[in-house]
Amino acid sequence: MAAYSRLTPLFIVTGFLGSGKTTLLNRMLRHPSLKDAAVLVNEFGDVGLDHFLVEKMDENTVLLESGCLCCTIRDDLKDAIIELNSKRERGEVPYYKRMIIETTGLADPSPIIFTLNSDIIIKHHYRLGSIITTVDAVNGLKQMKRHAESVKQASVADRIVISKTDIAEAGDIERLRAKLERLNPSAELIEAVNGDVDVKRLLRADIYDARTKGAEVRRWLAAEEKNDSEHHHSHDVNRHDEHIRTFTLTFDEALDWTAFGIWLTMLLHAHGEKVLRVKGILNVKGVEAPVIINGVQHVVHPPMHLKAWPDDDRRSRIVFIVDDIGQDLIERSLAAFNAAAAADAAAA
Amino acid sequence: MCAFCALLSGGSHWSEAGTDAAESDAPSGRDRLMERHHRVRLVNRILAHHGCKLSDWNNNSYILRSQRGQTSIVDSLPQVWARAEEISKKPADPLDPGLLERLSKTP
Repeated sequence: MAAYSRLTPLFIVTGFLGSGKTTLLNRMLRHPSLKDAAVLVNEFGDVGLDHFLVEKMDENTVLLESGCLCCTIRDDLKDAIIELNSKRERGEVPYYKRMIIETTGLADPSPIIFTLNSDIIIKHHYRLGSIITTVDAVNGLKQMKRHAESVKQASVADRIVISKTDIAEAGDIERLRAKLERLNPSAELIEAVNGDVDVKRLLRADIYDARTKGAEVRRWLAAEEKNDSEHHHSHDVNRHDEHIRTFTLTFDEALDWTAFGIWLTMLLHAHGEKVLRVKGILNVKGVEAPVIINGVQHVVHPPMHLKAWPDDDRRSRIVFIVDDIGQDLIERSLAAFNAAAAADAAAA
Repeated sequence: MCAFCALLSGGSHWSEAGTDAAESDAPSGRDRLMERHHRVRLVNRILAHHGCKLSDWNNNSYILRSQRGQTSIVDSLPQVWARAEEISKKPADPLDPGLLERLSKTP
């Protein structure tokens, strides 16, 4: 299999109904740097059909035996990607270098991510780039209060585009920004006016891009540190949206990689639906380089090394965004698994 | 594929692909074997809570056995947890206080 960074990146554009996905997508497609992108949409609707590769999916989902909603295979998406891939291999379509998938407004993005990770052909040719979520500056707060999908779309995002900032009150934008920073501190917030955003910033920099991954990790850590310090100073007990909690676990001692793998696979087996995001930088026993982990619900991307630590701090730092799971319990559990590994090493 | 038992090579699960799986090949040779043995020993500390035991099979898959003699071949950790749960009728949950207590008492 090719190195992960050399696979074709797939970007997911999601966002609640009327939050400006299609406007953003149209703007993106007109950008010269996206001339080499293929696009998959649910509805042709207003998306620019003049773009060379826009394909429609017919929503067709298969729920796996586990019954977990996030482990749903989107057959339509799988078929559409594989068909486009075959055409690309045969030279029937221009050689696209990235793919953008637009979800419906009510979609939970998790089945899309699960589908990308569950098909052997897709896994060998594509990797997840960034999840881009649009949130409406006028209605975003209300939508997040009323619709769980909207909260989930923001929670799993790598980039959040705040749309309609030109017609929203300044106070509303500030309140929305504060809410999003608490909900998903490591996501980058980008404001759009009439769909105008820095497209290169949206698509070029992602965690698996060798040129930008170091900077991306530094941004995660800085955002979470800021969030943590603000939390401690303000004692804001309402910082999280009802059931969603965001926290960082820090471990002074180097972690046992095998124990960590056992622990995380077991956690995701039991609670994957509730672990919206887990990402972090690990100090692993016997490994010089920092190890980056990145997961969305049941899907964990291949771990990778950074060339160097982003700062003098050598502790493992793991950010969790979870739905109704206590920080103390997760911390105690991971520490117990790591202690079991130490006991095993001593006994061996 | 193993020429003798026609087993397809698994090993692509992230937990067995090494700490730099995005850019490098998975560990091989002695390192891989030592890691597999370490994994089996650690998993068995957990599965004691479920009355099951894991062993390596051909350095490629694992065999999960229950105390009542049920045997399953599993390829990766997610399969271990799913099967152990089925066999034992106990949730495979790292947040289970009973499991955490057992781990803290196991020398």
